[in-house]
Amino acid sequence: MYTYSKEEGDFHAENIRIGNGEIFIDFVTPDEVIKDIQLGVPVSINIENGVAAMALCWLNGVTAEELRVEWLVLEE
Amino acid sequence: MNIERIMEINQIKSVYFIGAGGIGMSALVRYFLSKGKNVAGYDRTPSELTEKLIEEGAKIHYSEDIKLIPEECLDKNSTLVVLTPAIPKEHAELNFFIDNNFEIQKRAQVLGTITRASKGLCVAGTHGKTTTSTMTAHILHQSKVDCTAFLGGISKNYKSNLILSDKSDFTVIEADEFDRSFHWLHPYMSVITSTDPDHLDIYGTEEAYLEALRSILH
Repeated sequence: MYTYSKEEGDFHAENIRIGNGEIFIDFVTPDEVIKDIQLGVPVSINIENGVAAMALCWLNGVTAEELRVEWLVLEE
Repeated sequence: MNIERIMEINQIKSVYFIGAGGIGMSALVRYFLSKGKNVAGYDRTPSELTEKLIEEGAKIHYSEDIKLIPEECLDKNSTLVVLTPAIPKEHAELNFFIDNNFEIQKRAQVLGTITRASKGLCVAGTHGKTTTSTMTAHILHQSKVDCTAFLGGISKNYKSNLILSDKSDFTVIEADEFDRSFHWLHPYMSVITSTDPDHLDIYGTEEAYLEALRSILH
């Protein structure tokens, strides 16, 4: 079992940069820090959701490069 | 309903939907069409969605009539019947399938069967399920890992609540609390998002709700 949240836990974000309608984070995993991921959903609340999504993907073989996808725009 | 005898995906040749045109059911219709199954069913009224499903290969009719059930859906050993909750108990087609001892499942049970046949990645919890499951599906779909996904909402990128993949073992599912669907899921891995006791109408106590969430971690 792993824990996650916006700023602490096995998976979290650090070096969060918010501005000009954009969010960049460094994604912290148990093994590596993947720097400069841009979240395509530039709402602060989605940082935590993004961490959870990236954690599931990272644990199942998605590479650091593949996490830097052009993220989707969600229709809430 | 027959719960002891649960059909696995490879046993199923035909799937018959009683209530095919809802958004959640239509994703299952498309999933089974993509797996090469015969798909047929009933819905009360024609809609843009049911007409599209017919174009895609589903045999859907709009009057309650057991004579309109196609022949390939008359073998109980190879036909799974999927039931929408809104269907009344007196429904003639439903009673035909009950009387003839067909396996009848609701949507959550079918998703359970799909998670048994693949690596299910399930997103449960109170807040952010739709966002988290959609993001997960999107990243996987863009990567070499890929996935099939049953999403709780319509994403702008896909204009659909279903993502299909021929090659991936992974299925992303948003787990709804309202019909106790946790009980049926067999996840390979799960995310539990932040959790409030807001489903006490179904689970009774906070402890019972947390217990249900814990059950999908095993």
